[in-house]
Amino acid sequence: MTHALCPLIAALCLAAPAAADQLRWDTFNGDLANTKFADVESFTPANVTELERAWEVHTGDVSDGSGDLPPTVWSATPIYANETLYLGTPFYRILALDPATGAERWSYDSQSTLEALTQPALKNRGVAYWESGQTGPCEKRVYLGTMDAELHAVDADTGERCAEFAQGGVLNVNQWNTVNDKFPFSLLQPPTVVGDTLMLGWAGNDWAYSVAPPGNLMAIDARTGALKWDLAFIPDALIPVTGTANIWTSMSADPELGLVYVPVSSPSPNYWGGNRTDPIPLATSVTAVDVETGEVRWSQQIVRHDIWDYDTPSAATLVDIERDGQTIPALVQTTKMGFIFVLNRETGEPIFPIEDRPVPASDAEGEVASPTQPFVLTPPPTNDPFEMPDVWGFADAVSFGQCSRERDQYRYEGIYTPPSVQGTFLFPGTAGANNWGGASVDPRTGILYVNSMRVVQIIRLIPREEYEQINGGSGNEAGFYPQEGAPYGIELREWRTDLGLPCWEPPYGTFSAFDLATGERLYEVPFGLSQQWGFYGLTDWGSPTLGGPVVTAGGVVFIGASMDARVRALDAATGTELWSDLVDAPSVAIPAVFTHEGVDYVVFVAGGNSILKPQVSDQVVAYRLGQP
Amino acid sequence: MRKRHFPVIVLGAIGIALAAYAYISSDTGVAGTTGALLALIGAVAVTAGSFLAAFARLDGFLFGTLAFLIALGAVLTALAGYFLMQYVLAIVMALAFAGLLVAVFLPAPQRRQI
Repeated sequence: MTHALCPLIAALCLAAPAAADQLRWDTFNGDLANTKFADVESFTPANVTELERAWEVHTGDVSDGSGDLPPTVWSATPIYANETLYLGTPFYRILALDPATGAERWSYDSQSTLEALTQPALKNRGVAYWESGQTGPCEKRVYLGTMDAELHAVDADTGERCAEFAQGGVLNVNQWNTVNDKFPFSLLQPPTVVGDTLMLGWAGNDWAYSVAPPGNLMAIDARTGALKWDLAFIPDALIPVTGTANIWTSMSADPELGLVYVPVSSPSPNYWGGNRTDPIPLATSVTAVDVETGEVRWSQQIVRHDIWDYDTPSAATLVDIERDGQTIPALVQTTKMGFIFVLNRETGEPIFPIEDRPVPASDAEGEVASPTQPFVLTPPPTNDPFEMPDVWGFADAVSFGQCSRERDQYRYEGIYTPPSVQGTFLFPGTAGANNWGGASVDPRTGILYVNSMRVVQIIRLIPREEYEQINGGSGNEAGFYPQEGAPYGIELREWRTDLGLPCWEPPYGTFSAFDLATGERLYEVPFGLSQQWGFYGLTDWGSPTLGGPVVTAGGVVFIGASMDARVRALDAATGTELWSDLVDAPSVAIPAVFTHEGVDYVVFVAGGNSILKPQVSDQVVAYRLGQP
Repeated sequence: MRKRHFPVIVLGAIGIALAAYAYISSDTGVAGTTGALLALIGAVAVTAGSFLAAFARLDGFLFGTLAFLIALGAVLTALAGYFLMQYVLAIVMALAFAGLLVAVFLPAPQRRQI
């Protein structure tokens, strides 16, 4: 371990001091390359314990689901641009705050319906920012999407609607939802702004239907709201029988190459593919698309015939890697499986080898699982997905052997074991090893930082007749899914005892660093604290995580993500926790790190997500170093 | 009346206050959780048991059983406090346990013969 850390520590120490100001944090991932790198040097391992709360804001836009409103989940990255901090909320409002004090400058209410139309909760991942470079009203804009498929454009200075955008500042994106009417295009993820184009995907409920709206990428004129082009991911011939393969998460882009990199999700339904046995090459892929034309330049499918809901869950991270004296324009795609694909972002060629390996066959009616899947061994995957964790002795003992019995009862033949009527262990779980938080990278060193979950689930295909009697339909990331039109509904649950204890050995989540030049893993350490009934787990157990890390030039990583509702600063060199603070709910968002009026801030949104635990909030907290 | 149990009663009462704060206050990280509620119930049980031990006339067996239950309650509540990251509660309940041991096992002072 010590040996492995040497190059990392040396690289961090030798890195030349930069102009240490982060004057923008204007996309979901901080920048278009999704580095989540903040060029601020003031936060260091030596002083980060001196962080203090600069301000705290409660937006008021929160629901725990006990009243008339559905629960909220909130993972908005605060956007710092135009000397202002912009936030989208799960009630589909925009708040513009003073970055130094948190005081509200203006707010905008989209008046969107507060119904959980496609999701089990009211959900928002923030807003997008665009500026034309000219002066005048609406030359700087903030965009907000809604659950009911509207994209709102407002002036960044005043919060007034931009009338020249679509219909009085509101674009009805559902006008392009013409194939079928299963659900509206929910705009929960803000568009990715590339030049003067808004790259727009959508979310739906692909667990509910076999035939669903086919996934597409829409390029929208940032000024007018006009559709520039539209790229479909499902082959025409298969559109009558399947759907989705949509983009529900963030994207990255390389304006110099003129490419946007899109993470495409799995086709519908999620866990049975007998309706879509013909290849869908762009599904569950990372695909490079020409920004101007919408033409696919290259695509790498990361799961073939995805029947595990292993959507490509996050924007790829773009970084130049130095190898053998050459600079390689690389793209790093983290995945729900834990594999880390490192590709040449110009050509799509793998930088580290991708192996085709045989995987288990399906025994479900009509299903034809892919006989092979792509495996990436370098860099090593997070949390070793090749073998599911052993039975946890403590949980097994207190459950009188329930865990051992279930281990023998359900099917497991390694990663990519297909869902079955018997029940199949799903490891990594459907929320992944990695999810929408993706990775961060220090572009000076080529060191990649990733938080990762280690959760085992059980998925069971339920024959239609039996499913109708159960009459399930939670529509959440765990529970019963109807998969209408398929011969099976499904039940998906975490592998726990009747008392709720995890049946698998910890850790439940880790934090890792990788040297992208060599593919070497520098460390993988338990991260965060798990929590059950209020009781915290041990440090070595770690926590499942949602949300992503930000690495700073001073060698500090900022991250929320854990279920114990703490935000943390880690030593980038070792992953050691340096500082933490308790917030009101798990901070499942990516923090924003920026310099405002000469002062460096880190801002966390603590919104919570039911995947981790049913604790929600509307809290925004800004930290800065204590005044000397 | 067994005055030696008074410190355990006081510590239990402090434990009740701390556990109630943990259960109610949003800045503890465990507000409204089952674990915090169990800790509160544990602290109440220890306090009530100690009160009974101090003031009720109990024979040897009943007293021994009660003392054992109070000790168990104090240890479990201390453990709960530890895993709830309510360390002051954990320390207070550990002290209550120690106080109980003193009350039960320390020999009674000899009365001076006149």
